[in-house]
Amino acid sequence: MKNIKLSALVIVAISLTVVSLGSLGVWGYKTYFKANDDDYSGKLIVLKPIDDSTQSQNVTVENDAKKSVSPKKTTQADNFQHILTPVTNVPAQPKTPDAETAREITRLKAEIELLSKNKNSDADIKVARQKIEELQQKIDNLVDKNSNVETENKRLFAVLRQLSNERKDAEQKAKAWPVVYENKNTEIRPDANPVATKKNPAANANTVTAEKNNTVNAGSISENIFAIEDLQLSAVTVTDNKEIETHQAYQTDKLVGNITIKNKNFQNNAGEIIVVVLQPDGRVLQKSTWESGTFQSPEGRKVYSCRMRFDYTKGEAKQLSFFLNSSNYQKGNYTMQVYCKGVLIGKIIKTLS
Amino acid sequence: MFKKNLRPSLLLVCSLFFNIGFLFSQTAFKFKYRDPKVYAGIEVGSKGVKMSLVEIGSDEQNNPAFHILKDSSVNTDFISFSQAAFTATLNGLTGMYKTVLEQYSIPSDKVFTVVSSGVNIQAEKSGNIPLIKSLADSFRSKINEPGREVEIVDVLEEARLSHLGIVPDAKRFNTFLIDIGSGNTKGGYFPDGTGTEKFKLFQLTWGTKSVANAAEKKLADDNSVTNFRNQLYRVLAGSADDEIIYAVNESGAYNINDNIAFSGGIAWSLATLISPELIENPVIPVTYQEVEIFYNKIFSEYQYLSSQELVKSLDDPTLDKQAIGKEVDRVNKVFDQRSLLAGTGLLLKIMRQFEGIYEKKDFYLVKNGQVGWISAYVKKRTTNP
Repeated sequence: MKNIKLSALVIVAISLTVVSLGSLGVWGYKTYFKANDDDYSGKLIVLKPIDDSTQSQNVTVENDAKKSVSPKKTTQADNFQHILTPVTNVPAQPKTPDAETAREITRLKAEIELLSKNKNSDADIKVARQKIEELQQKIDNLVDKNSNVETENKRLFAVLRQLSNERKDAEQKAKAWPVVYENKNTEIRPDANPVATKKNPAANANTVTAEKNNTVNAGSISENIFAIEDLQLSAVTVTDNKEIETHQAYQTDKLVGNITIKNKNFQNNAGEIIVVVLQPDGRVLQKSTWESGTFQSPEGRKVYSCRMRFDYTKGEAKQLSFFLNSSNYQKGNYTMQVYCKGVLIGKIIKTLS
Repeated sequence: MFKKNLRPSLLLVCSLFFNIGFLFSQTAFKFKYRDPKVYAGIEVGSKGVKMSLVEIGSDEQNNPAFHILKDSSVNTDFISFSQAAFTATLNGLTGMYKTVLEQYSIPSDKVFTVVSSGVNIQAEKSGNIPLIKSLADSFRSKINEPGREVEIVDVLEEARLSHLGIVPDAKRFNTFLIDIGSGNTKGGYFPDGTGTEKFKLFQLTWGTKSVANAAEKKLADDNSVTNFRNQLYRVLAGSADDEIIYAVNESGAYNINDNIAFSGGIAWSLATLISPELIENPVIPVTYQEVEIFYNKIFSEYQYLSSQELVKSLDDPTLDKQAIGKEVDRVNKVFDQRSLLAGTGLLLKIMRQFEGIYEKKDFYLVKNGQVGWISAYVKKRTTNP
């Protein structure tokens, strides 16, 4: 009986040892190769692609500038070849058209993939590493180009917007009296005396939509609950210290909300509203940990983005604004809800594409 | 032969496993902020030794921010100043220091060891200051680091560091930070509006536990929660009220500060129970009315503050309900119904002093206040080593 227990223990000990050694082996292997990667100090070589029409089957490697030609070496990756030349002998990469760059990137990726499948010799690994470096260089160039294009786009966008605004203003001024200024953003006016607003869906069809708020109707507004006069939510990109409105999620640096509220019967001199901005994934976009909290609404407890307190004079159209920062804006609908005394008084949706 | 080698081989296997686990434990932390740096603070407090591993970085608004990666404590009751308490504290301090160095691979220059102001005050009162010195010397000897600094932080410096560590720079000169402890309350603000050298200290001899104890003493034969609440009201309306009103008026904080932030155990527990949805947030803004409503809820609907009930009441599908439940359980383990009533009652009493009819102050509950000083201490030490 004792022997049986002992042998079971021995088996357990042996299995544990095997597992331990295996784990250590894996760790050691990873550490060794990582260290090797980091320590690699071979001469930097820039790969120069040969003309596609040249169907040479040879790889010519020059590791030393003094050696003019090294012995020809045929590898298993025979469907691709590069002439490798030392960096000192190679001028800056010539500018190639985008299509050609894309083709080169695709080719390089295929070559690297093939090399990684073969896993033959150190030489292959070196070649693969060089190709990866070349690929990275090309990608970096493309990223730089893309960044320049984006900056230029932003600048042009700002110019276009300015021109567009000037044209709209000129058109408004040219209209016969009485002048009715069209609101540039669709809005809701759940005021006690709502103002008829013409909605122009074509103007901002895919950017800003507003929903008529059914929660608070004109008749039920209590003395201390504000009515929304104007509601706007815009996405802003900051370029050269200038804030430009955008509709692109990737361009957005912050969301800016503007709220105009009014109450002709307000009995107090201090007002408060709560703003909730829901992101496309349903989470609340918080202003900061010191400014976002929870509040009680008829639908239960809710998280708010920010709370705004202000002094108020009865009947005044009070303009309030806030902004929300995030490191990453998702594509989709951003819903801004405005609450007063726990009651939803306005809602607007901003779409970022 | 095989039998003979069995024990050493088993030991070897165990040590191999330990080492593997140790290797992978180094990367087990889940960092929250950009460019995180991990520091450790080990504090000898009145109740025991507390270790906190803190990630210090910057949040999305680029404000300096900290996040507790791990905290642990051992109760040693050092302020009883007995031989047993001394030994337990020394062992706790040494054990935690070694854990930080060996298990979490934090270099010793990033580990700060201090003795809290509470210990120092009690030691001064009972003439046991040499015992603190002896503890520090024994600790240095045990860890074989003769140059290791064990600073005794005074109450003013501790409050100042807490303010610097917890309150963001944007709110530095208009925020009154109040730490409600178990046996006392301390805090303060920067009165100058420009510099952080001068700090106006605020102190009360009342804390969550001392208020609860005073109410308990008045219970007589009726041990019901209703009677506890009645007696609590009497305590808070009596000598505690006088002291709070005097201390707040004397501090001159009302006119200077727009924000009143509360830290300490009761602030953490209320923040967790009032806004479980914001479990990740280290600070929760609240209003006087919200805390007042919650005080009544603790008394009349205490059963709804269990983790099951609270989680059930959350209908937002994006919330991590498991994490919320776990944290609520932690709160309920530390604070029972009476402690919650006592702490919330004291909190309301202080808040009331700032709740004007015309001028509204913003109130905040800080969750991680107990390690706030570490980030400021680290900043102080790294900039002025």
